[in-house]
Amino acid sequence: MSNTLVSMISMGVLGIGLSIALVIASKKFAVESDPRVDDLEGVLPGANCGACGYAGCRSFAEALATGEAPTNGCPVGGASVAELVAKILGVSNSGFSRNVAQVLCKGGCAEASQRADYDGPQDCRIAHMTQGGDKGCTYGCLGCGTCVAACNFDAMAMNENGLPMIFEDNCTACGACVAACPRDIIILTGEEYGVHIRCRSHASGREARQVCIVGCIACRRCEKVCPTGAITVENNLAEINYDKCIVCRKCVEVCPVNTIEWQEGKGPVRQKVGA
Amino acid sequence: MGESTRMIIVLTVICMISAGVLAWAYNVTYEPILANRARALHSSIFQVLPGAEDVRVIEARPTSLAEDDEYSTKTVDSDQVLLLYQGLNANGKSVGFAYLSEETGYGGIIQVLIGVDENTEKIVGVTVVEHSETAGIGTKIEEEGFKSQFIGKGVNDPITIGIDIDSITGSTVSSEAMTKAINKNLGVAIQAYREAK
Amino acid sequence: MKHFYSDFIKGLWRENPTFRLLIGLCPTLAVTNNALGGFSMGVSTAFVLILSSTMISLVKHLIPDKVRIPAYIVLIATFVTILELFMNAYLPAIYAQLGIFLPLIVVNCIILGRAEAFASKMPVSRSIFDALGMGFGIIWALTSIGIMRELFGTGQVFGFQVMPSSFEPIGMMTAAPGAFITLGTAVAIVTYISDRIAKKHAKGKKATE
Repeated sequence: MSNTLVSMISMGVLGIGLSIALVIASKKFAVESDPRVDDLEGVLPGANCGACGYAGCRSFAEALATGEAPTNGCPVGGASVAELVAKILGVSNSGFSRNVAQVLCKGGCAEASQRADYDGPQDCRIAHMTQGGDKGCTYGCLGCGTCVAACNFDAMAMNENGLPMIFEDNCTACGACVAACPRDIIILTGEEYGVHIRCRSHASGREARQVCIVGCIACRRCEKVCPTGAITVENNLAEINYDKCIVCRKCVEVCPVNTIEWQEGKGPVRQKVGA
Repeated sequence: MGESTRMIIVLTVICMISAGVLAWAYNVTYEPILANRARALHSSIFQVLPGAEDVRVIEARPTSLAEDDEYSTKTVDSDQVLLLYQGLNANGKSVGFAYLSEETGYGGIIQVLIGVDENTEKIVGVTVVEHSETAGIGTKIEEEGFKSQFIGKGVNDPITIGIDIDSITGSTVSSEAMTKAINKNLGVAIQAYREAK
Repeated sequence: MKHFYSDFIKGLWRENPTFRLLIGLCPTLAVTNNALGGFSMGVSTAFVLILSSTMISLVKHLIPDKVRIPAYIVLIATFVTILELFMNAYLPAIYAQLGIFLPLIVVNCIILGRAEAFASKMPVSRSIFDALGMGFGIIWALTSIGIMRELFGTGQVFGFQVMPSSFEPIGMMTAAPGAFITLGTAVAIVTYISDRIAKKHAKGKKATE
């Protein structure tokens, strides 16, 4: 009996002493912080992936609380998280636009020519460093699937034509494939945009035509037909400014080499105010 | 009630309750744990002293113990005390004694219990009480084939590894340590037992 | 009901603490040199995990947020010490085998991890199922590692000879390197199977170029 009492008293005294120390410490070293930051961090996915551009969910939450970051800044959380964030901050949800990855090259095995046989490791970055790879086009997809390997969300696969395809339902716009591609042919853009110029070749029209039948030949027809001025041709390549694109698909119709492509079911998008 | 008061009260109550529960658990398990320890030692003693059914502990004060032997002995009144476990048979007659000895092996201390016969004063049993040798290699010192080599050896019999004792292939260090542990205090223990009797 | 099922089942495979989350690896490596060691360590950890998760879930509203870690640790340490005392009293052989790793369950991160991540937020019933799932996850993980190490290291399983006598035991498997090799191989196999399952799920979804 006595050792029960002794241990209870000694542990009790320890408990009182240490908890007083904790109380003092919590008072003395208290840090004033925006209580909303904890709430915001609570609704974020907590993966600390950095896709928002901040060092982690905590710093994104801090940026949200100061109004620095947009409520829809978390691509992984998507619309549901954006809504919760807007609720905590007491602002209206600024309209979530989910980003997805797009592959800007159509020149697979069937369309683009080979200029050599590449026998090295099946990694685009290594192939790219090996004299620019085996493909006739030095701008296009090398087809080793490095982007697919980089994808952690099962949102990519290689098709039979040797090009990566994207399962947009799974894509979280984390940017891993964008970083993995040595040719910079993968971009992230709003899900609602359905018109893409799927070529990154700066080769002149004739050169581009020689190595790939779907490469941009810089004919400027799309530039001329675009009603919002979203397409500009520079350095032998047509580029689209998604902020101005309304997905009217006029460019798709005039493109003589089918470089510009429309994803069925997408658009049209109303022109944004001030865009 | 402020948050601080609540913190103190909650922590203190949790500490006290857990102390109470632990004290209860300690009281409940105290006897079985002691019994376990005694049983473990007794069963080792019975193993090395055939015929023994009871144990009497003798605190012997030998004059010369091997040095650096602080585990099997303890210091009482500035004397080194060697604990001798006298084994008694069913009739209460002594069948011999056992004592602990140890030596640093490959992975740490090897502690052996050595049983010595009452009349012949020769080793009748050896067992490893504690060791931390490599599993599967050094642990072979626990095997009967190795241990039985020591049986029948007396203080005047040479116990040399490699000559009288075959060491275990792959565990030379463990075999040597075990042999050394048995060798070093055998004479002292027998002498002490004679005096204590 | 659906919650209970998924809370329980996730600890067994998808969020298995040993093979998927890779936490609490100290005892995983140290005491799995035979099947019994792995099994008893798994059961001990599961025992503490289930009791502490239940208890913490019960008292979570009483504990102020700032002192929750010390409070949880005291609760966990209490359960571990109870386990230690009772094992010493009634299962001395296993107690001796687990050695220092038994009291070290206190600082096994799976226990405090589940307390922080699950039990302190969820109702008692769900916490129990979560702890049960995680507990059984640890048990099968540690036991399987123990079985593999014992099988290759000594040719036995749970002390029974299974390998033919011509089998030469690989002594390394019961030593420290064997622990790393077995764990690494097991993690690789589990990850491979998980990936295969995930790939299967991903297929058939609508593809866009």
